[in-house]
Amino acid sequence: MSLTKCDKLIIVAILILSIIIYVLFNLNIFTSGAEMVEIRVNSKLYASYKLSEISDEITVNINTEYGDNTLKLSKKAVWMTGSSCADKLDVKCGAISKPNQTIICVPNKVSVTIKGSQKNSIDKVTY
Amino acid sequence: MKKKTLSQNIGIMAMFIAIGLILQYIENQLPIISVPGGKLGLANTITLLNLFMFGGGNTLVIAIIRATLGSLLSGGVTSIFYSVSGVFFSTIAMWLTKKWLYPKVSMIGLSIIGAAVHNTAQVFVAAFMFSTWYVFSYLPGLLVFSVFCGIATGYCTELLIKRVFKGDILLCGK
Repeated sequence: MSLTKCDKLIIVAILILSIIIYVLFNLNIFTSGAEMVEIRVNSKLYASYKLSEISDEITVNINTEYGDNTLKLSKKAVWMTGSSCADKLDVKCGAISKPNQTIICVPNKVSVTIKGSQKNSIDKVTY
Repeated sequence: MKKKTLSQNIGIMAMFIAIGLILQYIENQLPIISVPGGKLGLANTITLLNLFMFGGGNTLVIAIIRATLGSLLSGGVTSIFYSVSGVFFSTIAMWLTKKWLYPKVSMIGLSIIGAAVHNTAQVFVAAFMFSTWYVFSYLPGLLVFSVFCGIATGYCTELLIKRVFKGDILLCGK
């Protein structure tokens, strides 16, 4: 096995690209703090929850014509506990807690996204 | 090696579709490795091998048929869009890279490009299907994963050509 110069260049380029995308999604330049959870089925809004209003763990059953999913919400995180799809990738990918993170279940057309609050320029500034 | 007739070529192509399907099936039995949606892409070795045997057009046909049959066998109908678009774009990317840069980019490089483009295309399809950009938060993990998988499958292909075909593959189908 031997990597040519070009191969190494490709590897470095892909790694840099992935770091850039990761930073874009995780720095949260425009938003701060997880606020809302949006559940969409077939890209239509199914339900949304305010994380701050959740006191205990709640379970959401998403039963549609595309399939059934069970979602758990707590104050800090969101995760899938069950799904009627074959590969269960949505359950395996675990809990999400930061803004812009998403769980998707491709066969059942379900997507769960955490939305951040818009940055308030006055309230958050400290000196 | 002698020039092959059309029917011989069709037979060989059908055989490669079958091998690709079996590799996909074996891969589906393996446990998922850490990254959601990530898989090894063993069938990519066949696509890469075919690129050297038949050139781009036939390889594209083989890969698309293999992906369609594979997703019908394992998943639902929706997964056809994902795997066919992934395979379509990754094959074209590998084909063009091979055409322009081959001796400079080794087989491993080609395979890495294929894996990365495959994942990127699938994420684009997911973004389109769910009409949200947030699915791109999966992409960094998938890209890093595809580098390792690309190295693994590219190395496999190198070995395959060396051991099974004794390096003779470049003469096939010409």
